[in-house]
Amino acid sequence: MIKKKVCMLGAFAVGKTSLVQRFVNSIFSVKYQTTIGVKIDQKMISLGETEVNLLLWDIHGEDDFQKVKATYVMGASGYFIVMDGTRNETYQVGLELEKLARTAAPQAKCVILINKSDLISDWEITPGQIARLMNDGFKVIQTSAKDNLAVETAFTELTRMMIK
Amino acid sequence: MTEKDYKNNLYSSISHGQLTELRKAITGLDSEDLQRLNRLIQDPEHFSVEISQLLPLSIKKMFERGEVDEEHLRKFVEQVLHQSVKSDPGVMATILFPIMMPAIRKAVADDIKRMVESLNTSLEHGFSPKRIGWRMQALFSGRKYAEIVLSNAYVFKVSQVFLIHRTTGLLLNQVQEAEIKDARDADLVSSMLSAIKDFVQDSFRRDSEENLDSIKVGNFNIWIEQGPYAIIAAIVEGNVPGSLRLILKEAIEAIHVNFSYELEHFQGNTEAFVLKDRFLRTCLLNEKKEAKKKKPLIILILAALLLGVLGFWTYMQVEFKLRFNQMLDELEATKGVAVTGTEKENGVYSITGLYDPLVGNLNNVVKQHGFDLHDVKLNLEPMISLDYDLVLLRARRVLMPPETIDLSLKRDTLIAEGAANNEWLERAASLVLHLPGIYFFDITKVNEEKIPQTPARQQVENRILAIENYYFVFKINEVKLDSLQKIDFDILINEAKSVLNFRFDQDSVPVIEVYSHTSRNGQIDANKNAARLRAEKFVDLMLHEGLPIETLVPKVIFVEDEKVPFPVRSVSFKVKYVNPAAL
Ligand SMILES: Nc1nc2c(ncn2[C@@H]2O[C@H](COP(=O)(O)OP(=O)(O)OP(=O)(O)O)[C@@H](O)[C@H]2O)c(=O)[nH]1
Ligand SMILES: [Mg+2]
Repeated sequence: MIKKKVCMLGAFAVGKTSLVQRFVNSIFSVKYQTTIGVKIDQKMISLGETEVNLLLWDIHGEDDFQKVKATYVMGASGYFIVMDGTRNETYQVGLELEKLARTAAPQAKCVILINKSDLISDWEITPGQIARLMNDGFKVIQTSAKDNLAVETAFTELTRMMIK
Repeated sequence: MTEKDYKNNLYSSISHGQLTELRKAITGLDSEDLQRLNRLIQDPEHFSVEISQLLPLSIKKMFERGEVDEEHLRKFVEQVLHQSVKSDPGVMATILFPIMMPAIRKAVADDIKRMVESLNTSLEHGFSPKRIGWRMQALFSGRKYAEIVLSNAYVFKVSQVFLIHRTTGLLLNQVQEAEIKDARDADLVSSMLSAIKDFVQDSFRRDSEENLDSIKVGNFNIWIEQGPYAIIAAIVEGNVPGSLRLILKEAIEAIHVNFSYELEHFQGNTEAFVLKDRFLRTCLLNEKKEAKKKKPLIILILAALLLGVLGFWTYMQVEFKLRFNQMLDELEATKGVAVTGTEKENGVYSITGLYDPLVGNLNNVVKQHGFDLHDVKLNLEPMISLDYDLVLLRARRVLMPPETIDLSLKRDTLIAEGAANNEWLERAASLVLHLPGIYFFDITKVNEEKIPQTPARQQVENRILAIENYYFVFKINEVKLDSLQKIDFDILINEAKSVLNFRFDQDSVPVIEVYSHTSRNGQIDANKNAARLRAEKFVDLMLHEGLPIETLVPKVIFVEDEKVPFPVRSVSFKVKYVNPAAL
């Protein structure tokens, strides 16, 4: 069995915890409980012949008071940068965290998630911005933890990239 | 005359009293009022006191008349606050500090508590009857669980040891005392420990030389020993001797020496550590409490003897009963036997009921179960059983069919098939209807012309089609047939045997290709390897059923390459005809 450390990174309240809960426990809650420090969950995923145990580090959101510590990201094989489609400022925060993660874990694979796709009519992040991410070589997936859109796909995709 | 002189003249010509009268007539104020007004204007302190009594009222009036609203005020207040924070954030921080700190502390404390609790429950997860007992004891006595554990068993013990990869926090290996059965959460615990370590080291220790070497979580102490690539975390209970530290140090060093390559190049695969590491186990130490008082030897021996005798007697009773019931079960299950009751008289068991003499000597059953015929007696009355097997058996006995005749029974009809002479037929026909349970005798299939059969070639081709439709899906790294698959498998083997026995011509022989399906998803080499193993294991299963080895060819195929794909992790089959020289 192979084990991999995976980090959830992004601005506060973008839905990192919700995505993990949806993926691991198939649940969603509208109640917002901010994460302090880090919460760890695990889930086994199988790809073809390979079983991978994902250890998911759900890290607190970055805001002006709480900067994400690089030590949490060290040793990760992959990380998600989560942005909230309905809040444009989470785009910039996400990109900065991506830089931090790339320095802390240079080998790690990255997938950018634009979350809350159930509210797509209210999105502030524009198709142009998303196209730019793709141009820069990022894998971008639009997800909804609420309606369970592409959540499984996102985790499978990152796992696939990690064990290639 | 100057103006001043004029005024003075005028004042003096009017008396003071008259002047006062005049002032009052013009302004409506007497001198006292005037003095008060004068004082107001002269003394700003006093003035502000007076106005402050009016202001709230006038603001209220302004609100009522809609001349000012909250929006105006909010903008104003916000601007002021903004300005204040901009010029010196310290001031606002000091103001808000007393409100915010308790809230923050509470939030953080709650969260850390939750984290610690979840770690605690994960650790305590391991169950054993003894532990459950201690837990009950803790519950009823109000003492701490840990205390009870220690007082009962150990001076100290190391119950679980984790080897954790330093940067990833992933669990490389773990060992635990035999009592802990369930260590499923070890992966989670390992990551949590690593996160706690990160957190503590980041938050409280600037000096990176200094390392965290123990954590206390609820009832557990966790001793940590760090190496450059990996960490040992040992869960300890009790008064641990300082020498444990040295043992942990030696273990982590030995692991670094022996697994230096694996540690440096760790990619998430823990196999090497799990299979080959023997150092972790050296850390699982404990010191048991000495048994307290020694009881006199003779009493112990007597007690043991008594217990032995009692135990043996009970064992005999139970064993006899079990054996007896087994024998009864067997009798009852025998076709043509009906047990109606059992009795015990003077130590002799007798079994009453009915039996068909065709079933043979039932005393053998009694003997086979190890009973003496003096202890267990069969009191069975003879009867004629209409049970299918017995009716058929009786028919065979009575009719004595030649070898070319096959007898079978369908409800109340006896069917004969095959070839026989008329003599037997006549004899049979005359006897058969005397047999109980048989009312009709079907001889239409005796001596009849052979019905043209499906040509053998066609039959074999049909079988091949059937074989190629079978497939078996397996779990990861496992080739085990479940009960349903076993049924399919048995049929498959039968089909395979008859296909392999048949040759279409002299130049070719049949072989069965066993395909193992895998996918390009993930690590291709690993997938291929696993698929090859699966094919070989499946071939082993088939060999075990007696198929010749040279006819079975294991193959690996990617589902992406197939026109009609079988599922990933399945095995399917193709029958091919090849030149015998190629084998
Ligand atoms: N509509 C919608 N709401 C979502 C979705 N995902 C999360 N939310 C909501 O967004 C809020 C924040 O979600 P969290 O998962 O706690 O966000 P987080 O990124 O973990 O936040 P921090 O831990 O504070 O960094 C919650 O109220 C969620 O219910 C989504 O896909 N759609
Ligand atoms: Mg969160």
